[in-house]
Amino acid sequence: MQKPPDSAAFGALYAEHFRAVWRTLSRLGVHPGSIDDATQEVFVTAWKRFSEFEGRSTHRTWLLGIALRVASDTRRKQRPTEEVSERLEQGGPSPESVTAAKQVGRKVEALLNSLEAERREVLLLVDLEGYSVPEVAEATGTNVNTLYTRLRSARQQFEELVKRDAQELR
Amino acid sequence: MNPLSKEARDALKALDGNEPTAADERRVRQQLERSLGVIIPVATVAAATTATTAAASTGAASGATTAGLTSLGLGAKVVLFVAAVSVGSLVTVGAKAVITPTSPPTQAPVKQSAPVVTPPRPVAAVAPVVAVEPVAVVAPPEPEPEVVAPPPVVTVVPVVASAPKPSPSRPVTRLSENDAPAPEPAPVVDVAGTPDIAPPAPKAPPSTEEEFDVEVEVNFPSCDAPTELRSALAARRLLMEKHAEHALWLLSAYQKRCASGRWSDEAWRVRLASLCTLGRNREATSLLEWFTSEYPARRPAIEAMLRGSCAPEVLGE
Repeated sequence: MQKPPDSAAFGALYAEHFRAVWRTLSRLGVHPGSIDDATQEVFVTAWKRFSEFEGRSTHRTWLLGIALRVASDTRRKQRPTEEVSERLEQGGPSPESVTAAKQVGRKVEALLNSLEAERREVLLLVDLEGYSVPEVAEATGTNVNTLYTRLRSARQQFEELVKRDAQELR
Repeated sequence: MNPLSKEARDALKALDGNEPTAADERRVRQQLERSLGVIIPVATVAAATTATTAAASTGAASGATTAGLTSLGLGAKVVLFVAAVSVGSLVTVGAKAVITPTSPPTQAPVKQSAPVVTPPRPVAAVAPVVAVEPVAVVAPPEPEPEVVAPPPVVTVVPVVASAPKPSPSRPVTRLSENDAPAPEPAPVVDVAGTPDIAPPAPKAPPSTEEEFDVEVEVNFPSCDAPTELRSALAARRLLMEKHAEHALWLLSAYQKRCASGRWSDEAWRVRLASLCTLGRNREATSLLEWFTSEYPARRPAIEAMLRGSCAPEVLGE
């Protein structure tokens, strides 16, 4: 019979990783209206499997693996039109009121969205969220060399896009 | 491999505004508590780092923790600290109790296996906490008990299991430091006799298939994953109380109501263990075979959980 996790230890896990989980889900295309549910799902899964955690990976990598699966499931359920409209609404009521910084942010999002999903994922996780390639490899079950190749391609492609749109990104 | 150029890094930084707030953290925590039926103690990030590191069975976690924190900008760290401190006043200081602030930083936290329990306090206003098994809840910090020598002792109080009652308008009440009575010495008392929360008024449990249909309608009306998990945990409790048939009825009633075809591992485990307990080995075997064909990757976990409940032949051993 599995014992429920120690609630203090789980509270500590939650406090330490909530922000990273939330950000990762957001980066990986979970729209704002679903972030609460998706984050909750990650931690419900973690609670259920807490006793199975054997420390072979870090909590951070373990949670990343769960978050990636939840993000993937959530994206599948999201309707593309809903996602786009909600994302646009999130910034403010009209384009005029959107700050320049947000406009740049959206432009960068658009550039990232033009990358292939797997490349975008590894680029965001490594270059924005600060995960190492081996960590991402462990969380996704992908070969490390494959990920390095994917990251190299993603960086090259993103660099080219940034150069192309340099004016708009200033 | 070439790192990103400064321009590309700056472009990525434009995405940094999408940070969760302390309110987001609190809201999701509350939802999580309702879903799981337990109180999740608030821990400061610093304490959380040490606590989770101690909880991990290898030292790898500390590296990752450090990496996680160092990956944050200074501003984010400040926000984290402020958020943690402000939220900290609301709830029991979980991990902070595990690691005493007076301990030297290098000293590993010690958790006493035989809990020292605070004296019974009147907490009638506290909403019942749903839990299948006793869940350790860290009580507010008390003055040093006479019998406890340093290093510090976690104060653990068992939570009484009660019937799940999902009620968004009735959030789980926490015991904050402010609720704590005036400091007084905490004697050692018998764990079994000191429930933290008053048990709910006894009511007749459902005992027929029809009554379980009603039970599901009332207590597990939603078809989302957290509710499904709660229903599975309630079924598990029935199984533990030697009501395997009732556990099956509860699972079936929920399945009838929410025919999503997607059960949590917990639901699978309880269903299979209930069948085994009732001696319905043939059904258990065929169900496990079907499960294996559908979810081969999940078989080892389920199988491990069923050892002890099911005969070896059911598990194909």
